Amino acid sequence: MRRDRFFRLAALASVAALVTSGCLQSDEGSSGSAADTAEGDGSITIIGAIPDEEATGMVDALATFTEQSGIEVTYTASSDFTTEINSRVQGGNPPEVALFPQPGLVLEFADSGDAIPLGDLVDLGPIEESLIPGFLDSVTDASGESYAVPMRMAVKSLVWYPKKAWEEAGYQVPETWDDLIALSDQIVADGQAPWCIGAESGPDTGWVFTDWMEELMLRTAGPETYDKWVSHDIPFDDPAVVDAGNMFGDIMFTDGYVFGGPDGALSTPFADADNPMWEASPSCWMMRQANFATTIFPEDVMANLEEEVGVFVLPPVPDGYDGTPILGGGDMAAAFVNDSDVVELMEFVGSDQFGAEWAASGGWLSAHTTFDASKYPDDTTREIFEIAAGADVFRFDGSDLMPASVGAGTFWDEMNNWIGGKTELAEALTSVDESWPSS
Amino acid sequence: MVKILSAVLAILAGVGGMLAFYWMFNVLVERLPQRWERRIKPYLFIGPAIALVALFLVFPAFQTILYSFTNSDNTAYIGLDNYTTVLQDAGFQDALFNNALWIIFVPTLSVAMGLLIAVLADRLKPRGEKISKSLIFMPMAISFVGASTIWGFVYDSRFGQGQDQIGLLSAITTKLGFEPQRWLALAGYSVNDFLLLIIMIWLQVGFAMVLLSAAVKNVPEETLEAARIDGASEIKIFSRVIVPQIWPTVIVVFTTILILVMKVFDIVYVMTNGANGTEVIANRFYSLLFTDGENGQAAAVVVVLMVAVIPVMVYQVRQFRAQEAGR
Repeated sequence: MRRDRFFRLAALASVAALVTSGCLQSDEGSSGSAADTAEGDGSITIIGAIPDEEATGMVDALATFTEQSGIEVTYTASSDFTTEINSRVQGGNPPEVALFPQPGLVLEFADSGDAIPLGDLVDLGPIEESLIPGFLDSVTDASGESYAVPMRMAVKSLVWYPKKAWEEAGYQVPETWDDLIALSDQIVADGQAPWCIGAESGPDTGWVFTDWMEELMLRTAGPETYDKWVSHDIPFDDPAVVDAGNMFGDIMFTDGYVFGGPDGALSTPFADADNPMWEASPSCWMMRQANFATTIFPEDVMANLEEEVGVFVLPPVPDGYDGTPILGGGDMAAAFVNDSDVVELMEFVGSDQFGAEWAASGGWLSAHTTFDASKYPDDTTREIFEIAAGADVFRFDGSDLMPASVGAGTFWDEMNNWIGGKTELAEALTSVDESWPSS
Repeated sequence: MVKILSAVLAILAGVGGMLAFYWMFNVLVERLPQRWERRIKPYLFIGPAIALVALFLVFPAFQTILYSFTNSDNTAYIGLDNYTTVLQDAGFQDALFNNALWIIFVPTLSVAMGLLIAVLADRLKPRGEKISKSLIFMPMAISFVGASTIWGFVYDSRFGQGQDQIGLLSAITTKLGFEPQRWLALAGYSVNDFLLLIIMIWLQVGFAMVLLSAAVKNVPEETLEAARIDGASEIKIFSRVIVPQIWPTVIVVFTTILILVMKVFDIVYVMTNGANGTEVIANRFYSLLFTDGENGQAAAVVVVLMVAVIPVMVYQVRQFRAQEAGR
C-alpha cells in the first residue's frame, strides 16, 4: 500500500519535472556588449504584434531587403506580444529585432539594458532629420539615447467628412478652432448635427473619448505639458486638463452638436458612427477618427474613397500650442542583438525609402516627411500623409503610455461616466488621478 | 491538412498511450497474489485521474492562495495588503452586492419558471409538450457570449433624430411615447443588473425545466390518484404531493445554477464590462489580472470567490449523495 503510494508520487513528480523543464531552456549571453558589432550569421528574426494578414506588405518590403543584402529575414507574428518578448528577453533568447506597438515597453527594455541603443547601430542624424518632429521622443530615455525606429505610423488627428454633400452645401474646411466652431454652428442652423461621435466598443468603450481628450490636451497645453500629464508629473486633474476637458465638453454637450447627443455617442459603436454621414442628406457631418477609419466606411464609400471622402486635420486652438500637433501611434523596431546583419536591417528600416511595397498594399503610412508620396495607393492616403508631414510636433496616444489600469481602465470609465452625466468633469478627473498606481 | 493530421496523431497517441499504460499495469497487477491484486487494482485505475486533478486543479488552487499574499508581479510577500486593498475597493464592493443579487434572483427565478413550465407542459398533448419544451430548451445551446450579443440587440437604443429603433425594448417604449434610454446605464434600483440577469435566466430555465420535468414524470401516478380520490385540489396536489417528491431534484438544480451564477463573467464582460454599477466578482478579477496587471489582488479576489463557493459545493454534494442513497 505504502510502496504503491510512493510509486505514484514518484511518477507524478517525474511528470511534473518533464512538463516544467520545457520552459526552462535558456542560453545566456547571446547579446554581447552593446557597443561592439559582431559578425552576423546571415539571418534575422523579427517578432511583432502585427498579425500575418496585416503584415504581408511588410514581408514584401523585407523581401526587398533580403534581395539587396542577402540576409534572410523571418517575421513571426505573436498574438500575445508583450508576454512573448518579456519571456524571451528574460530567458536570454531575444529575437534580433522586435516590433513594438507601444513605445512604453521599449523604454522598459532600455532601462534593463536589453535593448541596443540606436546610436550604436546606425547614424541617427539623417534618420531624425526626415522623421516627423517628436517621433523618437517616446523611445528616448533620460540620457538622450533613442532605442527604436518607426516602421509604421498611425495618425489620429483627422476629421472625416462626406465630400460630395459637403461641396453641395458649400461648407469650407476650417483652418482654425474658431472656424470649426463657426462651421458647427452653421450646420446646426441648417438643421443637422455637425458631429458624428460613436464610442461604444464593448469592454473597451471609452477610447474614443480619451482620444478626444488627448487631442485637446495636446492643442491647448502643448506637447511639454502633455508629456508631464501622460507621465503623471502633473496631477491628472491639473487645471490644464480641466481646460482641455471643458473644450471637449463644449462639443459633446452643446445642444445639437453631436448626433444623438451624449447618450447617442455612448451607445453608437465606433465603427457605425460614420453611417449617418453617407445618407443623401447627412444627419451628421464630421467624424474625428484615426486613419484606420477608411476601413470602417461602408463598402460603396470605400470603393470611391477619393470622390466620397474628404479629410482635414483637427485645427489648433486659440491661445494654445503654437502650431499643428498630430496625435498618433506607430510600430517601433528595437534591436536586441548587435551584429552586422541587424545594423544593415536597421539602416534599411530607418531610411525614408523603406515601405514602398507596404504603402502599395494600403493602410500604411511612413513616419518620414521625405517618403515618396507617389508610392501610396490613393489620394486620400496622400492627403493624410501630407497632413502628418506638415505637423509641427508628433505625440503618441497618451492613454497607451499610461499604466494600463489608468489608460485602459479608469480613464475610459471616468470619461464614460462624465459623458453619461453621472459625474462632473472635475470629479471624473480627480477619480482618475486617485486611481494612478502609487509605484 | 498537416494540422489535422497531427491533431489526429496526437489524439491517437494520447488515447493509445493511456490504453497501453492501463493495459501494462493491469498485466503487472494480475501477476500479484489475488488478495493484493484486488486491493491495488482500484487505486491503479483511479490513480492517473487523481494525479491529473491534483496537477491541474489542486496545485493551482494552492498557488493562487499563495499568490494572494504577494505583490503585483508575485515577487515578494506582502501579508494581507491585497485583502485590505480589495475589500476597500469600491468596484469590489459593488461586485459583492451584485453577485448577491445574481445569487438570489437567478437560481430562484430559473427554478420557479422551469418548474412551472415542466408541470404545465406535462399537461399538454405529447406533440405540444415536445414543441414547447424544445423552444424553452433551445437557449441552452447558445454560449453566454452569443446570448449577450442577442440581448445586446434587444437593449440597443438609437438617439439620433429620425433614427429607427432596432432594439426591441426601445422600440416598444418609444412607441408608447417614452424617450429612448441607455438601458444598461440605468443604475437606479439596479435596473441594469436585472436586465443582465434576465439573460442568464433565459439561458438556464431550459436546463431547470428538463431536469424538473423528468422528476415530475417520475412522481408515481398512484400518489396523485390517491390524492385526487381524497378530493385534493390540483394546486394542493402540486404543493403537497408533487413538490415534496421532487424536492431533492429542485435542490440539485438550484445549487448547480447557483454555482454557475457565482462565477458569472461572460455576460457582464460583454454587455457592460462592469460599468454603471454592474460589476461582478469574476469580472473584477479579470480586469485586475489582465488589464491592471495586479496579480496579487486578482488572486485575493479569486480566493474570496473560492471561499464563498465552498459551502455551496459541500451542500450540493451532500444533497446529491442523499438523493442517490434514496433511490
